[in-house]
Amino acid sequence: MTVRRGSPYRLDVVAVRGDITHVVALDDRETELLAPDSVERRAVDAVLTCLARHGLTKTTLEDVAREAGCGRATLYRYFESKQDLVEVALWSEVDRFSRTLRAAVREVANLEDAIVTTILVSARELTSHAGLRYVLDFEPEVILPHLAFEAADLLLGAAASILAPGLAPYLPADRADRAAEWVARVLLAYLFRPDSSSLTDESDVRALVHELVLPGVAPSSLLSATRG
Amino acid sequence: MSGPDTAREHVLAATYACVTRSGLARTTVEDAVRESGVSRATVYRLFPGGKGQLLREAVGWEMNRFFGRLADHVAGAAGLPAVLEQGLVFAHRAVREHRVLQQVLATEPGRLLPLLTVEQHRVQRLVAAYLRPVLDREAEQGRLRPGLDRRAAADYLSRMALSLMGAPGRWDLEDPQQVRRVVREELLGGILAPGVR
Repeated sequence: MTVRRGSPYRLDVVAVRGDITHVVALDDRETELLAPDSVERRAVDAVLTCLARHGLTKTTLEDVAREAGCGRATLYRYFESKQDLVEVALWSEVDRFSRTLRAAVREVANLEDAIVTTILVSARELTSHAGLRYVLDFEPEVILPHLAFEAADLLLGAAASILAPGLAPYLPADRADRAAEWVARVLLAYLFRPDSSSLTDESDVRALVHELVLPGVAPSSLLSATRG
Repeated sequence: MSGPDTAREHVLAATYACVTRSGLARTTVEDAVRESGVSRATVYRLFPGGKGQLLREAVGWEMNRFFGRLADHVAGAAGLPAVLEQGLVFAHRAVREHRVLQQVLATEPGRLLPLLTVEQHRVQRLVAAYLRPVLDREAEQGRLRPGLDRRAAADYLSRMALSLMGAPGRWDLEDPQQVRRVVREELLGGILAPGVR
């Protein structure tokens, strides 16, 4: 069990057996999690490049060092292991994603658009992530244990805490968390599946949200609420 | 025993029995041949993809049996809300109490989950196909939102119900009040006509 609280990365992240259970951004900072040009930043970029090229199993710290243009000894000063580096890369990507999402939902003015935007941005980021695609397509045994059954419970909780702030202006606090989990479920249930909407087409997503998702998460009395 | 379908069923049942005893990695085609009593030639002809195909179809076979039990359980349910409520309660408990599933998940999740994921796409379509006539009957009684796309609704309900069965998240599916709430609000909020219970 790994718990990092008040970490230098300023994300309160609790990881149990390598699964992220809860992610809370400690501030509304616009800047990146890792300082640009830092060794950590270059190492994270390098491991993401390697993942997209060769996947997780075949990527070694030598590959990462070569890609990052630094020595292996340097890497080991910052990361205990490949596993450690991959976890930091994951948190860095989660952080980048939540900042992207936050910027996008800032532009909307009602709950329906907030949900549509949340789904479109999430789907776009996830389906275009080359490292994630490689692992899902060619190393499912590595990632699926983190996406199913009890691990999915943890993932949904973490995803809900990332999505909830975007919905919070339009719903009472408890309903925002509940709605965020439901939207995370929709993403998990539709993304990366054959004969399913990829959730990247705006008109498909608008129809799904308007007809089926929104009426489920907001009783009609809340539907006309706009940003307060 | 006669006919290829019966032989197929027999081999899959035998494979499942082998997996129950020895797990996925250690179950071989030869084990299935021995356990089933079907000729080696027939087994290799029925499953040209070898061990990979055999294991995937054995997982699919057991999933079909699981969803068959689920369908039997909700057969008496009156109306869409009851089908979903009773289905979720039963399925959630059945997943948790499925000894072989829980055993293989604990010991060989990396081997099982790719197989389960592939088979789950097929099962999702079966669940949607099951729900479609239930939706149609509700429509005949004027209980659905006018203009509802029933194909999209069946697709949505099957995906979201399967999601809840495997990973209930914040929902305590042993609490009838919470089951009722997630069914009537999240699942059916856009499907039932306003005012329909």
